[in-house]
Amino acid sequence: MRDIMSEKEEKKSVMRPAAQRRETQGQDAWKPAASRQHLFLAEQRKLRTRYVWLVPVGFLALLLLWTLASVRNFDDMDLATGYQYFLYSMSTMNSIFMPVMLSVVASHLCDMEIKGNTLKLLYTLERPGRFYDIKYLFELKYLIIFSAGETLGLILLGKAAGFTEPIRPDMFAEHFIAMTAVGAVILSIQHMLSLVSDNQILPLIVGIAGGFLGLFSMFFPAEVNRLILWGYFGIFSVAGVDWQRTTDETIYMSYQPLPAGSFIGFLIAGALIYLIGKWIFLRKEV
Amino acid sequence: MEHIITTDSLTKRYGKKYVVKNLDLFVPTGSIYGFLGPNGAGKSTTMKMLLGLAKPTGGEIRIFGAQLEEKNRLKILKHTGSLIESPAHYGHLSGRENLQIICTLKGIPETEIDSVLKTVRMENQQDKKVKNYSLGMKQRLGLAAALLGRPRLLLLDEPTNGLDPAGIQEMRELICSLPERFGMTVLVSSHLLSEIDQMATHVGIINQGELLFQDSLASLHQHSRTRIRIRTTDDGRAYRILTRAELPVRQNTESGELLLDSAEDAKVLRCGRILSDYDIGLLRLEEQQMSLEDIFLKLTGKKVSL
Amino acid sequence: MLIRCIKAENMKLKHSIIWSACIFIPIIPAVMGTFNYLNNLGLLTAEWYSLWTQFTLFYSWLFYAPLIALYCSYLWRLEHLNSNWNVLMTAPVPVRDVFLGKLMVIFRVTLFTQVWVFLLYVVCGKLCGLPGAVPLDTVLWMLRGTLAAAAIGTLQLLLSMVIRSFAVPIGIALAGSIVGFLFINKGWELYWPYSLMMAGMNSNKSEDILGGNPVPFLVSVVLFFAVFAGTAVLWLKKRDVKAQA
Repeated sequence: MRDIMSEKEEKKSVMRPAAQRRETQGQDAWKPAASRQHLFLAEQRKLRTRYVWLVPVGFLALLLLWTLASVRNFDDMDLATGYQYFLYSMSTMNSIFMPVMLSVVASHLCDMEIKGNTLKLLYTLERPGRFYDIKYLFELKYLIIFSAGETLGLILLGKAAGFTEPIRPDMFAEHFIAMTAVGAVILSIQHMLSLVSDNQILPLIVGIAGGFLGLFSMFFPAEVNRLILWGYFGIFSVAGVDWQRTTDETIYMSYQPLPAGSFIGFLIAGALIYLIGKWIFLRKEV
Repeated sequence: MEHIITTDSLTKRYGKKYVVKNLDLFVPTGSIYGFLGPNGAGKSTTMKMLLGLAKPTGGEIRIFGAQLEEKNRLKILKHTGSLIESPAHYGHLSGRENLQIICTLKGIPETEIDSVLKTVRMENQQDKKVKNYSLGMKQRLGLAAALLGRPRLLLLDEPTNGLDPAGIQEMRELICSLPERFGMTVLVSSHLLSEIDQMATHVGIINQGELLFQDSLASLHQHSRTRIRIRTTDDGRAYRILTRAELPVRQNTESGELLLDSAEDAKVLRCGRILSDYDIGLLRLEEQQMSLEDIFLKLTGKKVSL
Repeated sequence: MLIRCIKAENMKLKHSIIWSACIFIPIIPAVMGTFNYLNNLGLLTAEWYSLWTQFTLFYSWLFYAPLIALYCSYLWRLEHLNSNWNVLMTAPVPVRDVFLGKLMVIFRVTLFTQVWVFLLYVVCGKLCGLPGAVPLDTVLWMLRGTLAAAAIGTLQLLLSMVIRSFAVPIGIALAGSIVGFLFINKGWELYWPYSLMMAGMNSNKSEDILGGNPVPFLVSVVLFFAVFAGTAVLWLKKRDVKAQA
């Protein structure tokens, strides 16, 4: 019992689901495990005093600050295409920072189970597959905080900087969807690695290396780029630079709506990656 | 040096809550000192303070005659072995490799490893990774680590935790043999009264951070008045007759057997005479000691669940 | 006593995959950097020096600190698990040496990584057909960058000791690195630990960022080291050990 009780937070998490289980069983004696809502609540309780939200919010603040710094030497011409520039540069930055940020969030949340050795206990309280899903959804919450904050933050920054370019809500919506989708697939990999890895080295290495790959994959030929998951922040960027026309003085930018076909293909592949990850996790013995 | 450890009103407070309060411990050199108390009584905290792991809020600690403070810390630790909370280990390394690390840190030759492994009977599992050990094996590895360097003082916090009955017996025998074999003094904590009864020469009883009793085990037993259990061919009649004779007898309402609350020869003798006078056959006459549970109850006024 | 601590740390790292990261991760910027260099020969004309910036910009800006943070987190995680704090702090060695022992491991990993990056640089340069020998400057910069570990490594070791999470210190390292670029741009690189690696490696300019005078750089490294290591030792001395936090 000592191991399980090793963390203060753990103690709460250990006690609560058990209590909840009794409650649910009271209502429906044959229910095999706690209900989804309760499990979600249990996850929430594990995180009290952990301040996980600081990770995405901190990164968000840094990235927006960074963007703000670049606005200061904008001229009229730039102000007229400011949002395009924002969306473009943000997807580039996402490809470096999001993989690391997601690996930190996933590892932080999963490692408390590994450290506290709570998987054994949790398996008796909830179905492993469901535990995997709920935990993932929980991590997803932080990703959505990040990408939503990023999208809104860009709009507000643009307003504050006096951009003359009209806001295209559809493009911002697509930016939000694309960045969240790519992040979600990367998160599913991090999630699986963090739950399977006993020492958390591997998931963090993958996170750091993924950031590297994402950054550099933009220099790759398009066919190779498509094979690298971390490069999709760039591929699905809703604004692009026309490098042919761009000179030292002016950057020619344009919006490029999400390619529906390949985006749906990406989502399907992403779902597949998630399921493979779940399958690998379920094979692990506790 | 009569006492290897002495503390003077040792106190640990978290906020307003006293975890350990004005503790005056005297651990005689060469003894097995049983540190007894229910869970959460402050045993672990006291032991952690003795090792310098936790800093006292008040009071003093002297070990080997030297005051426990920064300049003496290493000197004291060098001759101290400990097993605190759950057994420490690096899971990705084998048992032997774990011990090698301790040897390196203590600055002692690795040749000692074989002898401590033999002492805890773990020679055959030494090359397995510790993460695959059972809790009992980890506990033994922890003890082996504590024994490295033949420390003069050994602090063991609930060393039988997680062991199976055979393992518990083995661990007790091992601990009992240490003072004689290696000249060690052992401070061992437990929440099990029976366990301390079987191992210790001296006892300190702590509850809610305060020391309730401290002396040799023998004197603890003197505290417990002995009594005589009597069974006869007719317990009911015998009870009435003996009560009339003003002997301190009680009758157990369930079993019906009689208890004479005294072991004085004269009273026992009278008892026998009276029974034979009334032609009641005597079946059993045995001396019974008050159990440690009873003593604890007497000291704390609180029933302890074990 | 320090030697004993270092030896013990080395033994703890047996059978761990910790070395794989510093071999694997620098290969990515190496391949990409070379690639980028070859694609932009028109713009990058300073040969070995140009290749150097391609090689080391992202490594020293964004990836060195998280990488070393990974090692620091791993070293302390070993102690955070299984009550090992109790053993570590009852070992008859000064607490100062406990911390320094771990720091030495971090320095060694840094040196190893730096040498590996440099080796990759030489090999890739030769494969690109760059003429002549590697400029001596780059050797100097590489060694100077290694010294930055005294600031970054010590800080990360302190963070991972205090924060009992594996991942959060790594996040802090990345965040600190991002901010580091701002400091470099402002010319304040000596006032922020995370920008010291970039300054030392001289990875964003072809001419020497420190203007040939290494003294302020060294002073900054030493000061950061003293502050972080001092804090760590003080923390170890004053705090109650919580083995099961």
